[in-house]
Amino acid sequence: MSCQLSIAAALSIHKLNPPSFKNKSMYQELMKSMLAEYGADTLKGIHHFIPDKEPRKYLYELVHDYPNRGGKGFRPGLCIAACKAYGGTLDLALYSAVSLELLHNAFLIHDDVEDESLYRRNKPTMHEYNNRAIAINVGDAMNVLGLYPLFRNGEKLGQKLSTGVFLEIQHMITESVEGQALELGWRKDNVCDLTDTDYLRMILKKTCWYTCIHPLRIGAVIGSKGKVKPDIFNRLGYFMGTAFQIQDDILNLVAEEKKYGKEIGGDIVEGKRTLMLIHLMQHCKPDELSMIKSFLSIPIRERDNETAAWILSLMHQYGSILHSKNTARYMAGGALKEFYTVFSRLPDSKDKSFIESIILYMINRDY
Amino acid sequence: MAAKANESEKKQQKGTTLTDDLFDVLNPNNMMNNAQRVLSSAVNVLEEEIAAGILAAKKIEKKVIDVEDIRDNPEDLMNRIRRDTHEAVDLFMDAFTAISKQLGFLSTTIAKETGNTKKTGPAVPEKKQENIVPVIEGEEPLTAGQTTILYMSLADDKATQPIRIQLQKTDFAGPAKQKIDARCIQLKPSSFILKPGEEKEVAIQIKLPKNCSPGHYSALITDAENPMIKTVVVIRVVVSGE
Repeated sequence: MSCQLSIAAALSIHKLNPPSFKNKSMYQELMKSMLAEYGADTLKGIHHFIPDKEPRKYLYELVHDYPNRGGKGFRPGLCIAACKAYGGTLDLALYSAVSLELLHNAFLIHDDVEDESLYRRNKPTMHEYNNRAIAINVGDAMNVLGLYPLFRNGEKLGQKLSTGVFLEIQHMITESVEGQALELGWRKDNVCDLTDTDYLRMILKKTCWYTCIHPLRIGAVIGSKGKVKPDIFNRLGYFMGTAFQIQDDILNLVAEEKKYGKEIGGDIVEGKRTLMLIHLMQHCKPDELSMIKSFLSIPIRERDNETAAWILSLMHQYGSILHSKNTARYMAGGALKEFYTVFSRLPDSKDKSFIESIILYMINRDY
Repeated sequence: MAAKANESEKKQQKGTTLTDDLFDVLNPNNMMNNAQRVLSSAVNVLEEEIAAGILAAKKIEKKVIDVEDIRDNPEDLMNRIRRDTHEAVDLFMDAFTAISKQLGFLSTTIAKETGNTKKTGPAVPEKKQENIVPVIEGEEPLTAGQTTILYMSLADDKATQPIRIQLQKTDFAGPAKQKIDARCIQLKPSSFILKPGEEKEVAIQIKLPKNCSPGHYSALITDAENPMIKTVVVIRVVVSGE
């Protein structure tokens, strides 16, 4: 099957339809302000759905913790913006956005336990400052709490549309846990002969469906009252999600710790199969690969920072970071092309520009 | 930071736009091949995964049939009934075809035994056969876009004078309310004079549209003047390569 996409095509459309922004700061400001606005609306909704009752100390107070730390809010932002761009309102998309964010935070808590991560958004992870059992239980509670807004969707959207949204979420969670299983399996079996295609598959399942594809699909389906075919957002969401995840993984290696909010190089210590690690293992010398393999075969807590720093230096040396930066840019370019294809038929709006601004931000991202 | 700001100012003085900046950043001439390769690989992965998901969902759908849920959803229920009915009709048509063939064989045998040479063509307007609608079915399944020709013969041994035949046809009715327009059927000839004792062959040319779905389709061919002259044409459409 041949691929119809090209950056040239994206840019030629871009030439014909100049973006709504005159300079970088314009779209960055729009992106930040709208992420903050929709994030605040969603957070309010999350608080509304968390019961104010016992047990507080080891459950409901902790449920507020991760959402209150203030993530980027991509998922609710994309969902609400897609809904409004297709003629809907914030009110119509809000319950779905709340569900997405609750489920996302549940994933994060469990993900931190699974990865044995130390920090999340500049604070110790829940299992670190509490314990693993409590953290897992809080994550379970958030998964359940994420279902109730979907039930309440029926009041606003009607039976047919709310059932459609429920099935979107069901698919989203299924893909995410399958993707997570794929990567956890690689780590458990210490798989070291992965390719870029393996990575693209894993990241599609683990990240893209729930970070971009389904938020866009759900928002557009709600906004259009079920008229739009959600499959038209698959490529856009996939390219956006992949660009986003690769860039996030690069930041884990090269950003300032305080700005990034997690431990720098933590992904190397955790043995996370990032594009950089996969590229390095494909291109380094046999004796270096052997050392990397043995580092990844010992328990996470016993892995030392010195070896992790050596692996990072190899990633620079073999061009793994550059390769990943380029791949992220290609993906963002593909996303821009898809955006103009899908959204050009809609009238101009702040929400449409907001989605465009996220892609432009990815293309021009500084590390 | 200051250096970057100066660079930005210089660009603005030069009149460069954000689009130009994007071109600079993406550097399309150098990275085109790599981008194409990466995106192509990504799209393949996406399509494989979507296909795998659809297949898995279908398998679950076949395994799990929630009766209560189906009852609660009248639209789904009707779709299911339509689908099942169509399958039942297909089975019935198969059985009917077999019985018709058997009856044709028996009547031929009887005719031979009694020395009666009357033709037992598929659309003879005879009272004894008024309850039997002949079925014409292609031997091979067809694929969307394909053209085929089936033949039927008409004869009226009892007629004492020529009769005028003017054939008309209906749309093909297929699975899940799918239809193939009657214009896809060409009858050659569609109108003619049938003389006493004459047997006339009619070619039924069927040109399937490129977008028709797989399944069994049936259409009715009748004579505008004589309702006793009728036949059902049945075709089976399959996915290419099936």
